[in-house]
Amino acid sequence: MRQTVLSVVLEVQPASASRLREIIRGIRKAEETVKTDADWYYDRLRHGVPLLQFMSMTVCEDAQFDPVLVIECNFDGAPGPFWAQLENLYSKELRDMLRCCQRPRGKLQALFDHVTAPESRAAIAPFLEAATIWPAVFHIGNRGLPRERSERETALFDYCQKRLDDEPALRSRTATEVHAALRTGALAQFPWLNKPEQPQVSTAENIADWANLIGFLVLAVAVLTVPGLLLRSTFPSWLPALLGILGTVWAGFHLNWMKDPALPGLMGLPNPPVIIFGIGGVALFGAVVSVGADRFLHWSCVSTVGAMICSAGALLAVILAWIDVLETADPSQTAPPLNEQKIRDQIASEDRITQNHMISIVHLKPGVLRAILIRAGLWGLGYFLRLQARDGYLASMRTIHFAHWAFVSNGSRLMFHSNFDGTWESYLDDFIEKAHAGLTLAWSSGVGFPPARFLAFEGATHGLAFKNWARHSMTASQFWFSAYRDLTVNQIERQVLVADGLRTPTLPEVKAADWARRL
Amino acid sequence: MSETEVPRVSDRWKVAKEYAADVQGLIASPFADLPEAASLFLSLPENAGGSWLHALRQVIAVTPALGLTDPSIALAFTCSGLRQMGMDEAALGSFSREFREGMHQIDRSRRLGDDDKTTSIPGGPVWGGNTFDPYGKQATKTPVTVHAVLLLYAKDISSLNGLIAKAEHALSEAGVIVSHRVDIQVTEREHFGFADGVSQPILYGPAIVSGPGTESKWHRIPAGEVIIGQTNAHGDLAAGPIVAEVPEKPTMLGVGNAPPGYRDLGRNGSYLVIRELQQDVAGFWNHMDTEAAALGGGLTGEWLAERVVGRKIDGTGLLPETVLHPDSSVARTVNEFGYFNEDKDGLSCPLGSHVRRSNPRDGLARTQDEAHALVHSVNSHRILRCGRKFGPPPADPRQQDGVARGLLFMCLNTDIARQFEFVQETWLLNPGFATQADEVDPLMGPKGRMSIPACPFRHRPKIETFVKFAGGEYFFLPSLSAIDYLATL
Ligand code: HEM
Repeated sequence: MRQTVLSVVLEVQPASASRLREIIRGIRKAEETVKTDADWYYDRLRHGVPLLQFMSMTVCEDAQFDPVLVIECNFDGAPGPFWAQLENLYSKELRDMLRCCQRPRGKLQALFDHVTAPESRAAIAPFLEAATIWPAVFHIGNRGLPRERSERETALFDYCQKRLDDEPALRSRTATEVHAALRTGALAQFPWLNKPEQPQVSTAENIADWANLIGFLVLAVAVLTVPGLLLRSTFPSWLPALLGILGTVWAGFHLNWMKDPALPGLMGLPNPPVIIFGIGGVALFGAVVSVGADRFLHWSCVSTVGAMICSAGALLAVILAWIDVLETADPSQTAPPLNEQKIRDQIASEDRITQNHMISIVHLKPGVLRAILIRAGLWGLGYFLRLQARDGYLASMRTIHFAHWAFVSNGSRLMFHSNFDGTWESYLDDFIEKAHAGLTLAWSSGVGFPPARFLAFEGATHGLAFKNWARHSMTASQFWFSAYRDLTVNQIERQVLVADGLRTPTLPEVKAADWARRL
Repeated sequence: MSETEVPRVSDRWKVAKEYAADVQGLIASPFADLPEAASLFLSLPENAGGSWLHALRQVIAVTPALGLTDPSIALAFTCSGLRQMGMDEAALGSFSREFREGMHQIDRSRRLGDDDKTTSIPGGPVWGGNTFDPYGKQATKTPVTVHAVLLLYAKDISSLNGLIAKAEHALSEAGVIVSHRVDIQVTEREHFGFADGVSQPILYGPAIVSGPGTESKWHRIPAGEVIIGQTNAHGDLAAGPIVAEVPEKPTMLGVGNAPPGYRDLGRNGSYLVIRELQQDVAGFWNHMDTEAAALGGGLTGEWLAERVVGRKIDGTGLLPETVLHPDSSVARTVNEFGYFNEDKDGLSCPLGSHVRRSNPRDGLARTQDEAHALVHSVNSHRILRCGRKFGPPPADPRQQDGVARGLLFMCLNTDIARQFEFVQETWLLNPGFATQADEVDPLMGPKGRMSIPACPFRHRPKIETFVKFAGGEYFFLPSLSAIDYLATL
């Protein structure tokens, strides 16, 4: 079941920024006052856009850039139907919002003019679709679980809880009998239990996930080995070997860890100096094989492979040393200017329902190596997560519904969105204590990030400095919607297990007992 | 390090000699040998300055961590208190946000669950710092404004009374009034009857001398979690306040970790969280009896109450042999246990019980590998509790006697947001804690259901609220040299 994560980012006319904020707050106010059933906020949006899971609209200010309007959407299915539903509901507001934005140049211009012209009734969806910014990397906690299904399963879960509370007689039965009793009653109210659900990850998606990751790895290997191949095919074997060894030696001299070898190992990997020695060894090995095979054995194929290995080792060593040089000289902002009012606004908007939202935009550090690595890093991380993080867990955290990173402002800034369970403090502490490497990898290219080593080490482990830095890059959204005010990622998965159990006609005692534990 | 050991103040760890004369005794020990105590919450006059501290010092001195002395004294300040004493805004700004804003700041109060009328005493909490908040949203005003707290500990009630009289006299001379007073007794058993003070973190680090038998797998935390200026659980030096140097006013405050031009006011100090929590003992036990009876199967009120707390009344854990992991048959002290191997599903100690929420140990892990890493993570959110009970013990715990009693909850930590507030918000009051849905701490949270895992399926009694918030605040517990500095304000 496909889900889409995207955002639309538009430059705002500075003078209209406050008007834009008012329009967005107006939408929010209307949603929060129109209550159709019991005590539910956002009914209009919930019913009007049933595909939507999480959405935010924010005007983000920055000292170096004009304000930008960010519309972040996380929904079920493909963009077309979603935009149509959203436009149907908010066409007037959206058009007014776009009118506060700057007229884009390039191919978006005509569409923009069309939509924002006075009295225009032109469809807005095509513009929004064209202006979409796709994430560089995203994570979906409850992958393949559309909102419509989670809502059904919530009702089923509540039904089960109620029956267990109301029927103490069930307690004297076996788990198999309890299951049968619940199933009989549930089938009448929830006939969909008899129909198969779409798989959370379809075979096609699964194949695509693997193909993407393998493709990425092949490409990475190719980029590192091709220089060796090219050099070897035009020059005698000693030249690529010599260049490789020179590169490795240069790297060795420039690595600052020589003076500071006390970096910890990470996630079972040896510590960076050991890795770098290993890489140097690979380059040397490749060089020896390449020259040896050429000079003494006249095996040209083996020699070429040797040159490619040497090239990969040397390039990796040079890249690592280069990063080390950059990182050693990197200024880190130890005391980012914290705008107290902005922070109060953020805090005031937090911890109102089960989930919280954060949007952060940071400037990227300059330099070609960084530009390449951050893109390749996020790209690879994304493919890796698609395979690795399918059951809601990101490392040992199971709190993120939808999160994504995207490049904005023509690639000069990095935007981060997250919709997560629990408090902001606990979310950041989770990262600091359990997943700091991944986070540092993604964010250490941000200007002012706490000092990192080799892209993934340290950085986010500087708890307070990191929290201050993250806070100062954030903006309180003027509008934020969650389709589930009180469901955690964990609870959604728990409900899936309960429903799956009830789909099965009979469960043997051991399985039934296991199933009943979820209740 | 062992040559520098000082006389015993606690059997697990003590503060090393170089620090002990500067660190307040309350950090090293809850003065359990001094059963009678009083907490005097003070209100200062306008422009109080620091001279009242001089006056106080003439009659009683704050106790350092050098060893047991009778009586013992601790002293701590709220943010509004320091402002009232004339500390400048720049210095105040170097305190942590939580301290500066106070416990009753409107958003904090919401996050701590204090805006919930059902978990506060009727009419709302009585006392707090009433911290000035320049950012629009004023803190909820409490009728009583507290600027400082003086904690007095003595061997018996008559020496305590003598001490109080001396202190009150010196304070009133200086224009300081005791605006709220809570007499407290050492809490071996809290008022519901449960053993208290069983599980505590064990500090280590250069400022600490470890006692024998402290190689705990579960409870060791770096000293910077409790003492400002030491390395904390995130590997940073625990942050504290600093004051600008004034050339014409020499000070005995050390440079510590302060940048050039400043002196370290926070070093060797801590933040003290105090919450006055009233307990309705008869209500609790009668409700436990009724709910347990409703569950059927001959379950008793005691059985249910022990699940609510997560320990037996006498303090032993709830993990019986039936669910013990084969490896864990080795002898261990009462508190050296985890949940992952022994009781992952909470069949013995419910996932949502007070003790399991307030320190999940390795219980939130998914795999054995993760379990170890998670203990480390959980131990970045520990607090050093030093609370005591107030009010007389009930004659009959099931008989309503109309007497106010409860727990003066106190704990020490250096990062209030990451420690105390985290425990309260992310664990105790989190409706989604540990695979649960829509349940909160059954002991001190608002009323609701509590799942008690069982076969073939969970019990889910409705638990009412019998603990109510009556007042509280965040305090700065300065080092002795910092108190000397404050006296010069
Ligand atoms: C009137 C309210 C409360 C009562 C009656 C109460 C009672 C207890 C009892 C009986 C224990 C088990 C014995 C022990 O380990 O000491 C305990 C443990 C604990 N409580 Fe409370 N408590 C209350 C409020 C709080 C609050 C407000 C917090 C923190 C925000 C808290 C944090 C803890 C912690 C951290 C533990 C130790 C858990 C462990 O390490 O295993 N308690 N409490």
